[in-house]
Amino acid sequence: MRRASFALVVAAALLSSVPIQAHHSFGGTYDVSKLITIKGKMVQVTLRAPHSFLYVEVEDTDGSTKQWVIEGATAAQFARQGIDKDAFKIGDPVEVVANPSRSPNSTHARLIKITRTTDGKSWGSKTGETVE
Amino acid sequence: MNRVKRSETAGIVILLASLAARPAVAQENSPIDLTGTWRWINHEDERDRNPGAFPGDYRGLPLNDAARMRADTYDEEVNSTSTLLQCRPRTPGYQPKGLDPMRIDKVVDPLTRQLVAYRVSYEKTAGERVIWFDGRPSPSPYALHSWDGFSTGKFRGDTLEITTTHLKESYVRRNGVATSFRATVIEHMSLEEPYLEVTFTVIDPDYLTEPLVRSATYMRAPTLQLPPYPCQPEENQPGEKYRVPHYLPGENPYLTESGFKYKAPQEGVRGGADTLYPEWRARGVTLAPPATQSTIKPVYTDASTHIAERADALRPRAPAYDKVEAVHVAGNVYLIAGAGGNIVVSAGGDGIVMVDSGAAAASDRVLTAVRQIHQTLRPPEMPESASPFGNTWQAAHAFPEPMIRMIINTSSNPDHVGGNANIRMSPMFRLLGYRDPSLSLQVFAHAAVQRRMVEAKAPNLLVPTDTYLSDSYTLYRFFNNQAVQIFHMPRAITDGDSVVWFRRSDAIAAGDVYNSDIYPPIDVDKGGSINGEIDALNKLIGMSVTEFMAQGGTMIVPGHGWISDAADVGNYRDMLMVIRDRIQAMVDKGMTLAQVKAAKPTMDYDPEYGREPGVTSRLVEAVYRSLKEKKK
Repeated sequence: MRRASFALVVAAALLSSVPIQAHHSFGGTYDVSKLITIKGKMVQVTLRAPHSFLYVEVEDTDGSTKQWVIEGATAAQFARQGIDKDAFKIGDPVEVVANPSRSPNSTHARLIKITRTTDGKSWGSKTGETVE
Repeated sequence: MNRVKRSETAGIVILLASLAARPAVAQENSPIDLTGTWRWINHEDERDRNPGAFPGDYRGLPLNDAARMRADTYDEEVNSTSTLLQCRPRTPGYQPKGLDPMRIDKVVDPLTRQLVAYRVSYEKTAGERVIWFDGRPSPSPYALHSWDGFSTGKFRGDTLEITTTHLKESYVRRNGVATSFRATVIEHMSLEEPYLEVTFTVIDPDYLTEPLVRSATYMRAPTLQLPPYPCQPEENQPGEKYRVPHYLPGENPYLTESGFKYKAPQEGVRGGADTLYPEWRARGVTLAPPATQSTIKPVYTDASTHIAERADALRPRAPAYDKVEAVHVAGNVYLIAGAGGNIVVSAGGDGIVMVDSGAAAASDRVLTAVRQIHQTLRPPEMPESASPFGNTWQAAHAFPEPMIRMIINTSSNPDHVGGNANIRMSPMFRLLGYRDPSLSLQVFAHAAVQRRMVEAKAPNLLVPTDTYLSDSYTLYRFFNNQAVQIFHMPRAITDGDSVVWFRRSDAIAAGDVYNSDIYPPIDVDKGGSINGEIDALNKLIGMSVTEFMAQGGTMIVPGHGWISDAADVGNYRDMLMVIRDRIQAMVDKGMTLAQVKAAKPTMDYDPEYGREPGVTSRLVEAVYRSLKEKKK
């Protein structure tokens, strides 16, 4: 039991020391203490440096659509986590857990976890965190 | 030869042979060698990197109230919305706080084998930063500013001291604490193998009350290879009109977040030089941190909040025009600066076309500068294989004097058209169709410029002779091997502003539509407006392409100030959009012009753009009137 706790502490320490490859400040742009869930379909994947963007179209109750811009890691870091050009097809239904923007009425958010709901495959935002 | 003499001779031969075999003594001109690859060690200010600075956290920064107001109203999301900011590299005033590994290479003169420069690559920068050791002079104050700036190095004992100027506006913390384009950065690098210690100091006359000194450590990493960094800006708002996310003064809800989360007293969180010293600690421990996270309405009172009033109080001085200088812009385009408004010149085999003519009193010096530019074009020696039949180059240089073919005026502002008469009367003014002057474009401008000058009863020789009425106008033939296009910018500074695009040189003369270091002189009575001005800046940005990482490429010569690129113009546009939104909110509340002026809606930008008498008051009034009149 004690050994397991120690291992957890070490793992947590290691995870927290992994630098986030943020060019601008994620803490400044997004409210990292809050989580929102966005359900929609993937309309564009742009894998870029310094940050990548996933575009998710969300249908409102009145039938209108809104486009969310989900910001994530650099393309190289995404690739290490298994998100590459083949990870999503345009039109794939997805569920995104994200930090909301601090900016009022913004449809920008920072990726924490994304799930392709057709088969339940999901990806987390931290190095090594690939959730099946 | 006796035995003694033989032995002497043998001794000399051996000595000479040994001297010849002896390696030359190496001459050292750098006491330490910093070349190699270095890994950044993240052991200072960890939270500044991960998750990044929270809004309103100014701990450890000797900032003034103008910097505070600017950061208080800043929204970091602008980095996601602006394609000109997404790939913005860090300047040396922040770079060592980034997490980039770096590689330092040595550049050595192949002849003297002396150290000429270090080339420094960071993972996320515009290319290679150069630190010069060859004692070269600083570039002109009108030269382009860059993210890396102009750096010179000097070894002081075992420490390398680097001084950097000509920087673009940037930040010292990633929550909107700005550094001005007037800032200087001084770095000290010392080696304690395998560690490289970098102490970097930002001296900013606009936003810091004393030097900001910070440090960072790198560790040698000989096998580290810097990865490629193909930064591609992403258009995040397809179909949407560009916006600058920001908070109105007093409306940012996050300014106590840092104090609340880190249990730090708000007075310390707000920063300032006093809070940096040990003496403040005794006071700090007596102060309670914020009990909740709430919106505060900061009050700004220090000297930086009075820059515009101080500028207005300056006694007007007659301009001296004693520092007129010519600076190369790009291709065959040059800037003549210091003669009132900036003058842009295309010089080559077809002669010279001038965009604007400066102030009347500076014309002699302007013509001298034109001659200097003409001299630089003259090849030192014509090659023997030159065509026996001659060419336009030879024809042009057969004249001892350069030939000014035409003037294009960007507006009717006196410091841009004042030299028209003197230039036209100069023997250097030789029209393309001089046998029949009526066939030649002489002084060209938008029709509104001519109309306004005639209405103002300006002397005939000052008034443009030829005009255009459409959205744009292209000269009927290439001039100096390039198309010259003139674009009308309606309702910007006035209703008659033009920008001139030299297409092959990829340089744009922007006139007063864009000034790199003062507010635009929008004149509502002459048809100018804030929204027209912002539209014009967007058009300029749309015409421009940066070379790489939001830098270089199309050169934009402002009406006043230094040669710029699209990133500088984008910065200027964002500043005006923030000011426009603030004044719009005041207009919506029904505030009078006097109340708006008293509220100082430009105060945080005045250190950079409001140091000339009258420019701030003129801008606030113009923005207020153009928004108010739009509302009617």
